[in-house]
Amino acid sequence: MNAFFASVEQKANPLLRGKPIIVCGNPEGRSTVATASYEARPFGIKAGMSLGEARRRCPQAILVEGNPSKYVYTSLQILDILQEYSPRVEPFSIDEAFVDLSGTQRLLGPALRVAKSIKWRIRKELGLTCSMGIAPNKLLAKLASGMEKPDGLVVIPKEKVSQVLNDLPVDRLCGIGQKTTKILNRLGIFTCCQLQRYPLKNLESLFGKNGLALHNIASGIDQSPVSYYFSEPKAKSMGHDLTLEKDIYDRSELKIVLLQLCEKVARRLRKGRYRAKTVGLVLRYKNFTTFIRQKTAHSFLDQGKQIYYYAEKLLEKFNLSLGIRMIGVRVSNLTQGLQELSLFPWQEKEAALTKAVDNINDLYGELTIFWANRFKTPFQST
Amino acid sequence: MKNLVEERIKVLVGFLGDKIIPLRFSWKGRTIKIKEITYSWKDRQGISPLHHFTVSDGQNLYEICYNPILSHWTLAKIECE
Repeated sequence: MNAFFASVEQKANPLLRGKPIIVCGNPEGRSTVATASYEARPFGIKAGMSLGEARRRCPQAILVEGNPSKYVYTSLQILDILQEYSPRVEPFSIDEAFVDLSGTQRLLGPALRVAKSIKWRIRKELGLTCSMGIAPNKLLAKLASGMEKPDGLVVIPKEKVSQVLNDLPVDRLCGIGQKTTKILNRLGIFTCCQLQRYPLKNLESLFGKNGLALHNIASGIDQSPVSYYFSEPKAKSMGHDLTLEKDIYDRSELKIVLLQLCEKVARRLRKGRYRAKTVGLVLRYKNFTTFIRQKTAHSFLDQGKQIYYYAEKLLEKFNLSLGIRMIGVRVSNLTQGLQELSLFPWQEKEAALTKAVDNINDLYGELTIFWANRFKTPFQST
Repeated sequence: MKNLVEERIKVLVGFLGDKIIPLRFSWKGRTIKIKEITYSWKDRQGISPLHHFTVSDGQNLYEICYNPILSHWTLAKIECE
């Protein structure tokens, strides 16, 4: 989708149409840009940029507080439309999806006609535009979809793959990020063609098993299938971050936020019937340097207090005198469906209490019951 | 300018298949005729589904919300130019 959150807000509010808008967290506080409308993009505003920086670049931009439930609902509407064309629809993010049209030609006609029909329906039913790419695999389709924005439709036929990839900068391909690009650039590799020609052995010695993956990416090879919408992949990790309203120097103040984040992560774990063994703490200092530390527990965890126990220990290792701007909690090393037996009666009591709290929050909505220390600090999620 | 209201309102609606179409609503003794539904979406508050609509009377933009479990409508926000 094109500037998805911003386009939804402009559709919902005619007063925002044709104007530079920025969808963000709390516009009054410190948050980051979630999406900028196309009118705001010429000013250099990009997702992830701090709101302060965005304001400096485009003072006339209108700040709109994001409404995640609106975007999730719209995303599901789009997936419903896509599923009318193929059973193989794989969401890639809230505003991106892959559709396998390899077996629908006889029923629906050529892929180009189907793509035009999908674009037309999304525009007619939801009032939004999207860019689409048609190609022999997911890697190239993703590349094609980004070639013409907004409202584009690009086809990369099999016979033109090598021509398209020839002079393409390596960082344009999905799977080659900033860090990898830097390393490749140091080796004198700037284009896909140069990466294809670079000896595979050398790539493998530098990047391990990812060496072959990089070689394949540069050659436009991607054999991963488009999975079914409902075959949701198992989560590998979960986390929540929070950009603080003001820089925090005080450990006890930060611990209050930390407990809330741990509870939020734990609630997500329990909802998916996951348990985690590794807890990570992310801290971003006032000067934007970011550090992460993690610790592996002796048993699997799904309670906020349990996760907090490890996160608090990790926090002790950080020096807070520089001021903390963002804090995040991550859990990984997940298992699903595992139920460990409690050895002590108090563990059973705690589990029963958590279950009761979860039931109440399920019935009446999130945060009907929450930790009382939440009242002590502003808690604004990003 | 955006104002949070969160007040109970009475809404006259029509139906198009299973779609709810708000037509007009009364608020503070005034009847506001809806000229355009600019957006609609659904979410939940606990077990209650909530139907949200952003609607325009040609001048102002309103966000109204229907809770089918409690059978009530709320005017959530008003935005004036």
